[in-house]
Amino acid sequence: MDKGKKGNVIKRYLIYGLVQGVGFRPFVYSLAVRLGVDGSVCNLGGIVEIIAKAPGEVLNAFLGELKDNKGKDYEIHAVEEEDITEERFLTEGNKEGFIIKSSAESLHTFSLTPDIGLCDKCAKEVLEKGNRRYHHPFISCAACGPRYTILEQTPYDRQTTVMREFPMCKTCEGEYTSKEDRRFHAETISCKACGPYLLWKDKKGGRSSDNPCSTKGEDAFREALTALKNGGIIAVKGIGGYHYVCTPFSPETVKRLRLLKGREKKPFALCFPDINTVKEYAKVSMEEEKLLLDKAKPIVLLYEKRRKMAEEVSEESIYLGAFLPYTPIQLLLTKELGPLIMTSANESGKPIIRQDEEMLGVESGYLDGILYHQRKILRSVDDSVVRITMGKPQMIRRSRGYVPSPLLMEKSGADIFCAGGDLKAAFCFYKEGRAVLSQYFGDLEEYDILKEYENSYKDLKKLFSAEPKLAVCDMHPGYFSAEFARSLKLPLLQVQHHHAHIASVMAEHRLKGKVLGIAFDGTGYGTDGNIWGSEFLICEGGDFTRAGHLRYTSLIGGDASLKDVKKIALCYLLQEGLEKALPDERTPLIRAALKCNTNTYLTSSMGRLFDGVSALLGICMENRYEAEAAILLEQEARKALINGAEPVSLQFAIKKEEEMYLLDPAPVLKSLVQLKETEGTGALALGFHYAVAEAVLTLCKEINRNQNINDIALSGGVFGNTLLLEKVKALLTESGFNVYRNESVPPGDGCISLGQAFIGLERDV
Amino acid sequence: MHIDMSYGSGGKQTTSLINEVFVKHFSNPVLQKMEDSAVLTVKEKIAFTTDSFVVTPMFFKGGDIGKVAVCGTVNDLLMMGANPKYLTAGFIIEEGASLTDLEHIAASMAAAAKEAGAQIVAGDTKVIEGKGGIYINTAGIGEIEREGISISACKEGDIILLSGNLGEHHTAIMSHRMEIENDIKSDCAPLKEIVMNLIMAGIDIHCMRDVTRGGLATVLNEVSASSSCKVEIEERALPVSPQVKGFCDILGLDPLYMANEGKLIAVVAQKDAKRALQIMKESRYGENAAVIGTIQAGSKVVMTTAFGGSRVIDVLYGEGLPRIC
Ligand SMILES: [Fe+3]
Ligand SMILES: [Mg+2]
Ligand SMILES: [Zn+2]
Ligand SMILES: [Zn+2]
Repeated sequence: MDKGKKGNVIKRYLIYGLVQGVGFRPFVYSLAVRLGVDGSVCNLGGIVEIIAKAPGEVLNAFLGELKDNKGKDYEIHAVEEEDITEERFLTEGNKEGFIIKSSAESLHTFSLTPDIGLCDKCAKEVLEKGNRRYHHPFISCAACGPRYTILEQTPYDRQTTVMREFPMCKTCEGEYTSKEDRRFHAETISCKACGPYLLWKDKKGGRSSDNPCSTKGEDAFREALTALKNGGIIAVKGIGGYHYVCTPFSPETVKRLRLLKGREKKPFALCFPDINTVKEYAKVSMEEEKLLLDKAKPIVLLYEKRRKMAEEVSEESIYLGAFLPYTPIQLLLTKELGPLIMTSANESGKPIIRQDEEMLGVESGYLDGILYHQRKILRSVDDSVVRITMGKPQMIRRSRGYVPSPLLMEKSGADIFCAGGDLKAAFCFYKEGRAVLSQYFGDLEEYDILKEYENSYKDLKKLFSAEPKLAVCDMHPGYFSAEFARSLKLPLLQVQHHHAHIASVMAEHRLKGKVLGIAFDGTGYGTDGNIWGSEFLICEGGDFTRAGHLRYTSLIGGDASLKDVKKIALCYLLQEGLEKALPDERTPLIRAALKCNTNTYLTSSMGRLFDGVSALLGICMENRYEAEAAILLEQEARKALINGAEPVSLQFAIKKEEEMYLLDPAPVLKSLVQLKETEGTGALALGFHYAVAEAVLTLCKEINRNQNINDIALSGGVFGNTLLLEKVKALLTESGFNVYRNESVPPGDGCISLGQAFIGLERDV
Repeated sequence: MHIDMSYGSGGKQTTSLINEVFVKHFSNPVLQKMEDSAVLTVKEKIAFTTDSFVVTPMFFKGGDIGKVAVCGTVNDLLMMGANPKYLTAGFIIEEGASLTDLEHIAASMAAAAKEAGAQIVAGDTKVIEGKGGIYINTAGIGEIEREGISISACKEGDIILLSGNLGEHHTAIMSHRMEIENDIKSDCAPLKEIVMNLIMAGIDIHCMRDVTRGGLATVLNEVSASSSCKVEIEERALPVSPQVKGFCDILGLDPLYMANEGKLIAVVAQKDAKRALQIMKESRYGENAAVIGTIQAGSKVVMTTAFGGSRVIDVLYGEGLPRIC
């Protein structure tokens, strides 16, 4: 090939995406060598920089092949390119030929690689008798293995991860240094000779941890299998923490698991040995299959569970939370035993347990043993939960496998810390064009979770070398996240909750100009001091105006009242004089409280209206887990839809008061009370969903009459209701609107910190 | 009979109001001298405090504004280890107030002062236009019996005792306002017996606070901030009567944030905790006393919930506003 100086072009490419820790650099190297490109490839901590010198058409071919990643493990999200001079080419250490520059030479340290689930090649090897890593539970390669949860400091290197405690054997070192090997520079490389090994601690009968009979390696694995076969519950160390593991087929075992975990009623997630086994238990669409097989290996919520397992696994829920093995241990266990419940090991209100001492110290008669190892977990990271709706993913919990992948932001500015919300808390650092969301923490009112949140701030600030010049937080006067943001003593920007919801969609889809945002959720503090939750906001840049909402209703205060769905229904009914529809001995006291405004608040919450309707229809009277009443209401509607039931026609009243559109649920409630004795619950539930969707459409058209807005953004926890989401989107799309929603971040409060970052950048304080 | 503007003129009506209501009920040698100011003999070190009282309704189950006005000031003195001796009482009366009501109020002030062993030695009355309301200011002097008791003196390992059930005053007032019939009475009381018994027994008391407006949560946050410590409490240990609990559950109220008028917390050295609890239980108004928590190194107030979680207990930020999405 002609490498004469004349025809050469020199370019610098910045490659964004999943390009670190997935064997990308060796691939670039071999491609460059094959095509005769000179230059270098270097990891700038999450971004890969390629400097390339070759004739124009060769560079085009080079870039073309890079971008075509079929069958490869990396993902390119964006490429920036610039022409550079020969002089810069040389000063940056390039000569003839192509080199891989080591990460350590880079000044940038914004490391962004999530933990990656076991790859197919490693899965094959670990099950292959005769392979030197047969049954090695820590098998990994340049394209798979833990990353974020084992990284002490950047750049990502063996010496900066907890793997530095396991010096490589000669054979592993050979693979690590060989450019042709798929474990070339695989920082997590190990084998049975040099790697960590399994340990088994028998806890049968709740014996204390000084029990001396720890077994090792394959024996430990066998002990764990025996315990599981006997219907026992064991703890298994994973990537972001421990799981409790047991069979889903024994009702008695699953009941014991519920006791071990506390009062929880939530459905449990299941790990399946392979995709075909998943299909025996649930319907799996093409998109769902792709998601199950994705590197992140999230828990995927699947519909239409076939009842083969114990009722206690998911009770009334029609969903099945399934995932495929992302660690070799999970693969080995499920290959032997079939599907297993794998649920985070923690007491309610505490972060997932990651420390061995803490796990070994758990004293419970329900726990039979602990399968663990010496590789440390540095961060508690829960499994992510995703579902497919309308052919695209909807993130429900964004954590392991996704964190800390950055989201690229349109605007740039100085570093920002965004505190997020208080529930399903996740904060975010903005730095150099990228927003990096933290793992999911949970409810910050819980002391241990708040501590974890505060410690993670320090941890990630250091890891990303972020130097925030601005802190952004919610307006709610009682939020712990806001209090933490204030304690940082940085310039502070307070952002309205629902504005942040909509801004997160604007950030994800890079929306510009005016956007009509619809944020439906349970609770967010409004600029008028009331509790908002069904907001139609006209957003532009970093500002918004409120254009409509559900008419305010007075509800009884206190966080505990939110569990009492029947009380919520009574509040709605009392205000319409319909309380006879739901007899309750507490009615006189509640009536008096509403009349005297004793501990009441005004709210436009859509979530609460769903709660109230669920109780009114007799579907659910008490939330045993978050949003249970609304989930069961959706489920009734979904079943009616599948069975072809005719939705009952219901209608909200729409009023306009001083430039504000108000949706009044009174006629809907009146009809529901009248019809609930004669019509089917499912048909009423479906009718309610449709009525909300139609009200949304009407209001959007009304608001748009004097505006010229084409883009509509949907966010908020209520849009986790896919039946509503699908209907709203269909109606709006038919009327010519472009409808956007959260995809990479959850529509619930997990998106708040991203929205805060967007507004922080827009306001440019 | 109702009070009109002429009662505030300083003339005959005023004199008769003072003599027939206040002097009659508060009767004591100092007051009877009717000098321009009271002349008092006290020990070397005294505590001195004042508070104003605006309560609607003025009469409620378990007490009235007069009793609250005396107990509030007396208890504030006691919390500093001071034995209440002398009180003053200032009245602002809106025209239209009933003379009978005023007599009732004066009588219950006298009774409460007597129980606390204090004398009301000076006073003032003003009548203003209005709708019949009565507002009271009291100030008080107490002789220090035990020095060093302070909100900032709590030490790691100390034990926190609460003298009785939470939320009763608040619930009684609310029930009255909402016109709800129940048996819940205000806990309004002078806490002299509990405090003096603790001091007399030589209990190593580091801090005492009466638990009034803002509730236990507010007091504990003050302890945490002033003593730079973490306050840990047990939800299960908190004494709440079944009636109050039932009422609060329905109305979404948290007894942790509700006002009391006859409750205190005492933070004592660990070695004395058992004895202190025994003494409280044997003292008047202390029968439901309980050990509710401990002082630890760190910050914040943290409650171990009945389900085993641990919740951060913040100060009240606005009644009833939910955080949950
Ligand atoms: Fe929200
Ligand atoms: Mg006071
Ligand atoms: Zn692999
Ligand atoms: Zn090895």
